[in-house]
Amino acid sequence: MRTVAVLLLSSLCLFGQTAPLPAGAQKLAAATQSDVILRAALEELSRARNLRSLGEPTYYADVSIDDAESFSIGAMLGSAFAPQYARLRPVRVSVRVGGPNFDNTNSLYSDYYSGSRYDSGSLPIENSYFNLRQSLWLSFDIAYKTAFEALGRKAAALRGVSNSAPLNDFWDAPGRIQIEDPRRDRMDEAAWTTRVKALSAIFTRYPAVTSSVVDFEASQGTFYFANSLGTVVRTPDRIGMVRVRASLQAPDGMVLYDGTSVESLDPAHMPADSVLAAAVEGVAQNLDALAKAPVGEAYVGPVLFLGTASAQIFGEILGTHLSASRRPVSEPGRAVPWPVSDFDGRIGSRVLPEWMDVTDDPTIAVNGKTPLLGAYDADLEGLFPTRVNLVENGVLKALLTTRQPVRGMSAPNGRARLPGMLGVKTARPSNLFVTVRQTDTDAQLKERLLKLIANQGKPYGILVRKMDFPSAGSVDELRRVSLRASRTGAGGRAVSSPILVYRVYPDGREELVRGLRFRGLAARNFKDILAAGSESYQFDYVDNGAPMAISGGGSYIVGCSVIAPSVLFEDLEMDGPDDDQPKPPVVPAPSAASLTSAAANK
Amino acid sequence: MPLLRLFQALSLSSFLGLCAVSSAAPPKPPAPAQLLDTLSAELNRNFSELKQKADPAPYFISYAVQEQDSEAIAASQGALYQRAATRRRVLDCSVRVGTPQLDNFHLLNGERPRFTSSVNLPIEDLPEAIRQAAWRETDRAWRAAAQRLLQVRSTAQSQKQTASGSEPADFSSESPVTDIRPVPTYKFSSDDWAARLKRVSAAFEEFPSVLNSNVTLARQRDVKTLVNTEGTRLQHGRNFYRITITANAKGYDGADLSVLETFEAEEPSRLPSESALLAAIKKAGTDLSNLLKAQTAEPFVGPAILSGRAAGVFFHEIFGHRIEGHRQRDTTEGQTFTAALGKPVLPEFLTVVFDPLRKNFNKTDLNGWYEFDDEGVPAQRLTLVDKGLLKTFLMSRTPIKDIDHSNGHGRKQPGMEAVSRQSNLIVESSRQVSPADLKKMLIEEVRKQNKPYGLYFEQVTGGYTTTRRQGLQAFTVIPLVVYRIFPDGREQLVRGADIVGTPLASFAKILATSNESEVFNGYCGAESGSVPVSAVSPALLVSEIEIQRKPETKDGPPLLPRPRQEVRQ
Repeated sequence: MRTVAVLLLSSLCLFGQTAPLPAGAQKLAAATQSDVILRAALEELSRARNLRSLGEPTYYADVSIDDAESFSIGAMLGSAFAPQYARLRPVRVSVRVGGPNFDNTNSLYSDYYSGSRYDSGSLPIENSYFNLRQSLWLSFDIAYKTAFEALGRKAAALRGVSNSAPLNDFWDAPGRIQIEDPRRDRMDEAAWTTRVKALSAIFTRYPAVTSSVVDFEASQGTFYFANSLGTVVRTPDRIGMVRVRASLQAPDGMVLYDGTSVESLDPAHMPADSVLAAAVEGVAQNLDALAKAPVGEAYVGPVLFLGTASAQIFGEILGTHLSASRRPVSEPGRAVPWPVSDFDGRIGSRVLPEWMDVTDDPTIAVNGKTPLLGAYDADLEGLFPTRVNLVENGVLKALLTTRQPVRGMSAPNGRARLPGMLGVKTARPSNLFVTVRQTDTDAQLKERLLKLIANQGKPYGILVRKMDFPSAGSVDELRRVSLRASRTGAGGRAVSSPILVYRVYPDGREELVRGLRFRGLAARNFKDILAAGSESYQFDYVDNGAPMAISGGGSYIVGCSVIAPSVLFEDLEMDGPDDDQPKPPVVPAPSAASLTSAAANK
Repeated sequence: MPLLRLFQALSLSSFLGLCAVSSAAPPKPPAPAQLLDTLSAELNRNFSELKQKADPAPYFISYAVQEQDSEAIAASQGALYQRAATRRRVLDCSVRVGTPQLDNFHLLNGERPRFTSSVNLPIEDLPEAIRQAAWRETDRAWRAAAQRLLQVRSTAQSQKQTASGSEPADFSSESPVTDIRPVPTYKFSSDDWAARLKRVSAAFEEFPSVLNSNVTLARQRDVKTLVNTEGTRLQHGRNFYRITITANAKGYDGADLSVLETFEAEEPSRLPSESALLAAIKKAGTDLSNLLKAQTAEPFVGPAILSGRAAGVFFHEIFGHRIEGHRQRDTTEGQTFTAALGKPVLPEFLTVVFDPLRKNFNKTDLNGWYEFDDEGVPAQRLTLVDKGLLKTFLMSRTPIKDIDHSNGHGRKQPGMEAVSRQSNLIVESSRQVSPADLKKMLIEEVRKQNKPYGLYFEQVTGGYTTTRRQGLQAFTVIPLVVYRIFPDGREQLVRGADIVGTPLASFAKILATSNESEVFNGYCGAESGSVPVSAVSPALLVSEIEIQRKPETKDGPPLLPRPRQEVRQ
């Protein structure tokens, strides 16, 4: 029945008939008339649905197009790098053959095609109906051939393997039509160049900082999606962000870095200069303070995550594991190093304290008066997300899902937020709310920390104010963190390092220390949270699917917000620096040198 | 194992680094003096401090900044697919510790070290950011250099007994150069060219069997700034313009067929006119349509003519890569010609010149010209082979036995260490006949050898070779358009097969050349990255050439019919 409906719909659109239609369809008919991208996508989709000539009919097909325009400008110490302005139309198509219970996706071979490719992965940047269709035609052709080949290889790999509880490969979900008008505001490139240069010049006042970059990036576009189940989506998709990254070498040679970012879903209305300047100053001051701080030592005991640091660990660790994933099919006996959620198969189990709930809600755009970064209308599979109660009274009730079936869940909830591989999208949270019924003020949490260390006879406790998430570190740093994670458990998954760590002495005095990292901090530790604060902190970030969401680690980005209270863990392990530290440079930095010579001239 | 490649097509993304379009304002030419002064000041500060305090101390440091201001426009079948421009500046820092006789660059078992790693610099000339980046890179490169010197010294110690005679030094001494050229200007109307490319690209619509096609214009202005601790202060640059026409099709037997045509020039006014471009597109479309119907060339050994451009690639691969100086001191290399100085290496009617100072040949601009190489040494015209006798090698600042100095062929792309590379290779011949007579000579040879036909290689896309000892001393040239020439003079187009061969055997088989030279402009990829080069040669008649089948896929053309063109709305 659905098949008939789609054909009818697309023919209506193409021939512009004006039969009485439901509101969504009326809007679609009008949009299809005026929007050649939409018209070309629907026409080639309706042709691709009928691909069957290799012997396996297409049972599902979809197409996503990002009609995007981006502008970026970076600067260091007051000098600008070249501004970049890009006009791009990346296209992704997917074709499924087989059936919902067994298809070509989720196999190590799902993306592999042995023949030659004639598609380019992007559409013309002009609105030429013929050229758009030509590009889409070649994309669908390769997608179908790849799907056909993958299905055969997957079936061969599974021959002789028995699976007691096989999962289906595709979750059906009703299609819907949502047509919104594209929205694009003019970016004042000259103003942003001046602004970014001025922000980067703040670092000239911190001569100890030997490397720093401030950049601004705005992406404005329209997201198109259509599938063979009758879903058609056209929505604006915009984000703007200012990123700050800096590093220095402490007098003993230890490399220290920090970073931060400020994001908005309305790139034309980014926060005021004073807010951005404060973010830059914050990074510079953190580094200055860290360079002077003593090196921390290995520690086992209670740890208090205050404010942002708490929201960061909920976003990074809980958020990742609440996003469902499955291990792909490979040849029997061949291990696939594929990270799978620690919460896989754990629905109904307690994963947090009884007095803690977690919900994910993409349907709201503001938290009180603060805009939320995780609001969206439709996911990358054209599904319309709803609020999901993930954890109730500490018990895991649901996972964030895409159209890929996972254990314990029965339907997608519209969380396909990143493109992913092997024909499967990657789930991610939107606006993650952690709420608690048993609260203390942050001051009381600190007292409880002190009481715990007194009972355990420890000289100090640990307090964390900032984590390196999303990571501002280098790729080398990521490699070190990953290596450490594989040695120390935590499912081998790299977890970001803390940036601002304090020893808290029995008299309440705090002392910043550097070089400490968690050993095996993982989702299972969250069950043993002792207490939480009464105040909620919001942390916005951009995820790209890379480990620790490392800055610049992925080509597709998505906004998320976490709203969480401070939390006290009874027992976590921390390691001091074990790596050999490079020696400090022989030649002093030019900034330091010019300061010295300026002083000498006086 | 490094493959040394020459290729004509350069993908847009690699050309630009990033897909990006610049803001509207054309960039101001950089102020030369300020960047040079900033780099010099930071270089001297680092060098003098390191010389006093560092162990091992450096004896040489250089800073090389390359600014690339580039733009690309791509059109296909009447619509724009890409329009992007970018401007970037990168810094390479080279540090040498030890002594020129034995330093951190010394080869250990053929392992070629790399100490530089390009870092981005702001495009503005304010000193703070440039000095900070240069200082950070000097620190990083010095650490790596110091570490490798220890390794070099301990290996040199342990191998002392076995070393035969006196080894050449690791670094030549050259006179410092001070030369600040005006930054080349350009006048280029992006909008006009976008409209022109759209118009001409639509001509491929006449060829429905073409699956995809592209007409691309890439423009780049390079400005190179170099300072070193010997006192060299250099700034120079040039413009590149290139139009690339590509078209691809798939046969029902699964064969992937393609045609390629490029045009290079130093300024846009020297690029082909719109009608010339249209003619080239029609030829490409016709060739491709004919190739779809053509038979596949069978593996074959027999006489052949290589067109001037095919011969240029042939010489670049089998000869050019083997007379690059640094290979003569690397014992993991094949060293085909190392001991051949003064001896015959080619037929005596052939002379081979490398002339980086030559800007054009007949009416074609040459891609491989430059005034200073990437080590700051002035470019020199060299007669490598004089009437068949090998006279010298292409030299960077890495000396070899009997040749102590560079001859201006140390080249690299940003982020790599310079080695000796080719520039403009020019083949001159004293046994010339007209193209018609060359064809007659081919037919005579076919008859003499009792072969059914000879081959004519008209168009090639590039080639590659391996020069290491492990692995074959072999080369491949990849033709796109090949004809069989029958004894009755009839010509038949065949789908290309790759030319294969070994160097010494191939040279002996060159019988004669035509009296018309052609230019192949391209990019050569080897240890030090991709560099622009040219090869100029007359057509060659060879008594014997071998061709082998191309790798192929078995998938067919698209399953659904192409969207109809009448849907253009």
